[in-house]
Amino acid sequence: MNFLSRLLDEYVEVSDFVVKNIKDVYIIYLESLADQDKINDYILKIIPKSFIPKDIKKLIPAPNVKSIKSYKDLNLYLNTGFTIIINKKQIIAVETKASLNRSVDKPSTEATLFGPKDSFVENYQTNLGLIKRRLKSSNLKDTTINIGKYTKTMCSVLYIDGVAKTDIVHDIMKKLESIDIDGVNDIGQLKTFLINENRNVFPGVKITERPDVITNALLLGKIVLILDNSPYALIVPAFLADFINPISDNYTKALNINFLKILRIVCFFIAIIVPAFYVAVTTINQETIPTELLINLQNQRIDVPFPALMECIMALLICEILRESDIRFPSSYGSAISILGGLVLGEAAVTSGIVSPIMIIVAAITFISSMIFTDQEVINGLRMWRFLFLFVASVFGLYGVGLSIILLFINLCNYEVFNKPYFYPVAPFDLTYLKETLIKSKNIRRSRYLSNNRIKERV
Amino acid sequence: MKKILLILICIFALTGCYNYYELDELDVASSILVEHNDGKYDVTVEVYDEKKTKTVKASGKTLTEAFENADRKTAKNIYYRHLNAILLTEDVDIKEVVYFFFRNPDTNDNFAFVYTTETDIYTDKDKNIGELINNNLKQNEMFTFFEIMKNFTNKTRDLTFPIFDGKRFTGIKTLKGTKIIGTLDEKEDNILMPLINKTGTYLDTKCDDDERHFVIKIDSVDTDYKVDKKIKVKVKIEASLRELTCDIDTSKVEGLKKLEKIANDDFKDKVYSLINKFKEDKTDTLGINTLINDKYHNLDKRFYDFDYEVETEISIYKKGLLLK
Repeated sequence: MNFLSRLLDEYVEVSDFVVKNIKDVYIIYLESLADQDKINDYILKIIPKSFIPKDIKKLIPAPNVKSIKSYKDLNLYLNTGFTIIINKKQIIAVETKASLNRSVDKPSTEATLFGPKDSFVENYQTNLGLIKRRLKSSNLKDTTINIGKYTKTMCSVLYIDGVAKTDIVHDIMKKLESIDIDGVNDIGQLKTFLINENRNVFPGVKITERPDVITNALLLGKIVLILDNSPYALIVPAFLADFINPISDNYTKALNINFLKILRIVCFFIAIIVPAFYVAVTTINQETIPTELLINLQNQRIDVPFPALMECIMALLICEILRESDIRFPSSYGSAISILGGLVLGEAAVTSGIVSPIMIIVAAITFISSMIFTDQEVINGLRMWRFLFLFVASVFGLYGVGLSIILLFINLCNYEVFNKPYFYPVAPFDLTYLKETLIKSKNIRRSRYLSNNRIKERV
Repeated sequence: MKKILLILICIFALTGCYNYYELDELDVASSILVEHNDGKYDVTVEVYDEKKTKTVKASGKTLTEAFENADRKTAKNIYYRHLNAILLTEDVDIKEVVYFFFRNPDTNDNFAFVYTTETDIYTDKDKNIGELINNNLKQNEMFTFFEIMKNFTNKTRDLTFPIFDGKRFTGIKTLKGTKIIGTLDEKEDNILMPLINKTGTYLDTKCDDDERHFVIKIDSVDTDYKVDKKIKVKVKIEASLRELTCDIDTSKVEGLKKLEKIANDDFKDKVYSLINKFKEDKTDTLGINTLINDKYHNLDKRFYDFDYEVETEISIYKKGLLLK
């Protein structure tokens, strides 16, 4: 009874903590986490009517019954919705979890025209089930670990045995085991422990809410992390090329999708370079644009009192503020924000002569191009580079734009995620993974960086 | 982080931005008229003014002073990197102007050097003289500053400036070095163009004594010079028939052949006549001295010391939908 008295001591001011004593059998559960019907069916309807055997496990008709050896386990099970039964010296935990989950819904951040329409929810088991439903193999391994001193959140590392490289799995496990934190709420928090985020503004791990993306990644030899209470999963390692291509590319005809893939690469650079290019050609390298365009731009800027750089920063900041408020605001207000920002503010800014019409076009092109990427971290990375390009271009003109492009490439080539080059498959060049990401083409092999089992399709 | 901060501080604190100009601080020059009166240079800079043009006039003892004065007369900086043309009058020392722009890095290199007979050309503010000249000479890079600079420094051929009368081009001035030697009228200009491998010109040929004529447009030309005892000029032209008042039936092969022969003979005569004119003026507009020098490595021999043998071949490949 040592554990019982300890429980009673520790759970003094916990309102949902329930302890029942029936025939010297103690039934303990947390009301908020446990399902009353399950407790009734599995325990309360059985124990009062029955002879209590030495091994009470035999009496309980529940599908999931665990024996408890330590107080730590007892605490963990109690806090995950299990009902603890203490019968003399025997302690067992019966799964009576209440369903606190929403149902599987459509993806909200990675919507596509084609492909599956289900997405992860906050329930670990549901998420694991969504993956296992697609990968019906005992080779799909999931190693679990609890993270957080107080939250004890279950985290699972998934990989396909025989496909994924084990060194990355060990590396990830080592990093997860070394985490000593009070608690984690979302899988996004784990990113900082897995990779050194200060080395690059672009993300080194991919967050997704789509089980089909996860399946695809696992089949390529990547490692996946799922966390209880998080409707997202992490894919490790992720290269820049992975963020440029949504999964829906796999469900569309190659000939058509390749045009879009090239367009996305172009948009990646447009989202970074366009404001810098505008400032460079209007302030330093006016000789590079046709005379008609120069005169046109000059006529538009006559009433604008600010330098082009200031004008550009203002327009971009307004767009950033609008986007941020659009994300934060409830969706019902979204259209109001769009109207206020897009129409009223934009039109008023031009009419009042604060920014020139061409600047609105530049800001719009930049933002529309960055919106192609669904990953918020990529958009944030693009923003950082955009401002760097802008400042350098305002000082050095097109020469500065060139310098910044070199800097961008150096930075991308220099970055490694789990000892894998981030700019892969461009540098180092690899046609196998290039066909998987930047170009859609028939590909029967896996990348040498991700798997030793190279053949993925037999022809 | 410290390194990044240091780089950023260096970028923004130590760099000059000497060529930083906001667009609204610029007066974009379209053309410049340079005159020389009473020992002074008078420059008139035509600048873009929204959809119209305005002019800035200034004078100075030197070209530098004149341009400086022009710059001071406007509230903005005059920007010469979109210049379309420089117009020179008869009194101007071409050498001085050409050298001035050779040394001035703040211009583009594709503006045209034009000789003008008229000085009062900027009266109509709706008309952009620089663009007018640029549009007319767009096909012909021979008159651009870059080409002039190239020929002048390499001494590959003597310079030529088109003559502008304020409304249109009326011919070409031929130069020996930087001195104007002769003038070619429009008809001679049309003969010169195929000789320097330029297309797009029209050849007007009489077919009988009754002033009836036909006009062909040169669509493709291949002119080749060979230096031997004589200088052999071989011109191969493909042309389209544009106008025909002669009594020749071009629907038949014989008629077309006859037309080609008349055009050929007439063109050959005109080429001989033009070459003789160059020989008389001793202006190497065709750049033959370079070929002679390449062959003989002897600077004593000049193009005017040679006899010429001209071979022309005009074929009319397009005659339109007319039956005749």
